Amino acid sequence: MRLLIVEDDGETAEYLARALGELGHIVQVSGDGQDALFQATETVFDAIILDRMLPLINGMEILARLRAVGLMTPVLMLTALGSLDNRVEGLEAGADDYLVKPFAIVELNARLNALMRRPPILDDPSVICVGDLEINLLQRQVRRRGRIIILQPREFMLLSELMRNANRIVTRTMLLERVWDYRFDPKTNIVETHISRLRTKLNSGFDTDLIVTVRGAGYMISECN
Amino acid sequence: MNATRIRLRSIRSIATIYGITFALVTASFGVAVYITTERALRQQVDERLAAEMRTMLDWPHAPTLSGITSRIAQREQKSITSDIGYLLVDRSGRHIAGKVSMLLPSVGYSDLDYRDGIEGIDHGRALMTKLPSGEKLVLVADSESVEEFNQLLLQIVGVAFGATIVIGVVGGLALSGIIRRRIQGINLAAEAIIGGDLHRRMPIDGSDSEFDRQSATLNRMLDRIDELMLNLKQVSSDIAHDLRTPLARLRHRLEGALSPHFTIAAVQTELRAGLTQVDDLLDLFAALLRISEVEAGERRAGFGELQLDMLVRDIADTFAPAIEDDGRTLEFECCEPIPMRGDKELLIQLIVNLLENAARHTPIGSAIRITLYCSDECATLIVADNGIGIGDADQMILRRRFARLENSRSTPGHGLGLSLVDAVARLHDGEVRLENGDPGLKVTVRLPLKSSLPTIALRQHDRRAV
Repeated sequence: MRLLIVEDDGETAEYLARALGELGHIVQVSGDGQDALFQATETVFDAIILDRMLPLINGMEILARLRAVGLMTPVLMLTALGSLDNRVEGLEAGADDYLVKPFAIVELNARLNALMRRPPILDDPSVICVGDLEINLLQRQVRRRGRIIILQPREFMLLSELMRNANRIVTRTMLLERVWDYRFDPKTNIVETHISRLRTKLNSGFDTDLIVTVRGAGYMISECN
Repeated sequence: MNATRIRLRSIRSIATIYGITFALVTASFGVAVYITTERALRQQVDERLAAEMRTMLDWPHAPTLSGITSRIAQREQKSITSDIGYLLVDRSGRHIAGKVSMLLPSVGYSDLDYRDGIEGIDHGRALMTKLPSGEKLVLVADSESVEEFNQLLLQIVGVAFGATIVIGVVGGLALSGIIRRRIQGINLAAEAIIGGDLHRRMPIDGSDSEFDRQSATLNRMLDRIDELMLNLKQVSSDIAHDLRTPLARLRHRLEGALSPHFTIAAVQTELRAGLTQVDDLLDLFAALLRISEVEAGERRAGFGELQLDMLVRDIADTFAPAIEDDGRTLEFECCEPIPMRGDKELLIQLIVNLLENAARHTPIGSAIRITLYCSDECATLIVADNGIGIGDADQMILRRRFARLENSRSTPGHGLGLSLVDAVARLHDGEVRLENGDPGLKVTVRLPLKSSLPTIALRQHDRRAV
């Protein structure tokens, strides 16, 4: 993936560039808003990682200008620890995702990958298949090898989030945000428990487990285990 | 100009202006009474003269000259007309009848004084009529009583005016003195507080006067500031204390990992453990920031309409499996829809915190029960467990930041959960009560459906639909 990192703190930028490079991305770094605007319009990137607080032109302003010139590159906004209002502000300004510093690289990578799967203009497909598992998002129906599996609404949401990101890691935080709309991290293992129940329902009568637990990162649904 | 206006607003000048105005009003009232009375009394004398003149000349028919003479003689005898003097002269001014001797006045009314030399009259009125036959009849009356009355009236008005000024000045000075003393008391207390005596309070004399009530309000304000400052002081030292321990542990770990005897795998294990510790610290900071954000009241901009019953049911459904897997039970009871205004995200966190507290600090096998109902425009949320509960003395401690009871030192957590619950409830104008559930702990959160605190105007970007 070709990435542009806009971050004024040299140490953070360097760390991000190295870590994302190790994960196989091609990374370019920009230290201020003016330069970022230039680079973003000059080169085609798959995604832009944009710090909210920047000298000269702040992240929100850059985002607004990019969108104003019709550049629809997915933008993941980074912000310092704290205010919830910032997140809403960022999403309303047209950011595709939002991550609070400090964060784990796996989290950032998972979110970048998730951004890639949604072309901003195309609608979600109504039916997604992974191996012998099939989910119909419109009819809210799940079948495995043709057999209907009854899920609770929350389990359905959990599964559809995993299915939409099939073969990509979905982190615990992403699931909390997208399935439960929780913007904080409960100490209780609610994600683990619900995944485990979902797993039991999906696997009963079958001998392959489609949900993979990626230690220290999250979960992934995949046909090839 | 401005300085003059400010000076005019001082208590002493207000009292002076009030006194002067009051005195002037009294004086003009006195003058008005004096003029009116004087005119009325003079008119009375004139009317008496006119009536007497009619009696002399017309009644019951116009008398002859000798008739008039005899009437004069007759009336001068009578005591009822003794205050009137009579003089009748012929065409050439010679005396015909009457005891009065004087220079002839002009026809009609005229004033008399001592210069007219009439015996017994210093101030008086005269009425002269020319008879058809050419004789002139003069009636004089004494108006001394009017003058005396006027004198008296002037004296009364003068005394009243003087008294008003004296009372006004003395009263004004006394009033401004009293007010000044009370304000001075408040100023002294304020100066002392500025000077560092933070426990000093405004003087109260127990009279429940306006000053007392104002002082009481100021004292309440000072108490609140004191409480906040104490809180701040305690929080800073708590943060320092609570951070030092995990940071010291982290340091040991990193230092240990540097040891040449460690294998790469061991170093990685140590680093991973260190990372977990750092994440815990970051969690603690996030919680602290969240609490101060909530306490600053900025989050009121995020208020919206929500269904509290659905919110709680959703959380109960989400957490029940995990809590049951841990060997406890969770029950939720609510049988009515409860729509209210609030911050959805913060309310979720409030409920989750209470639930997690109950799940974490009770023995395995405990039952947790959430009850939600609505009464008196207030939603009541009760999270109760049948665990070991807490002592009465611990209830106050628990609300403080970083508060952890001795027997929970070993369980994970940073002691900020209830502080956040408290802060969120207060943001919603509600309250939190910790009670002994016999057995277990019972936490009651009361939230008004419509918060009475003024809502901060919604910011432009914050048109979030909840």
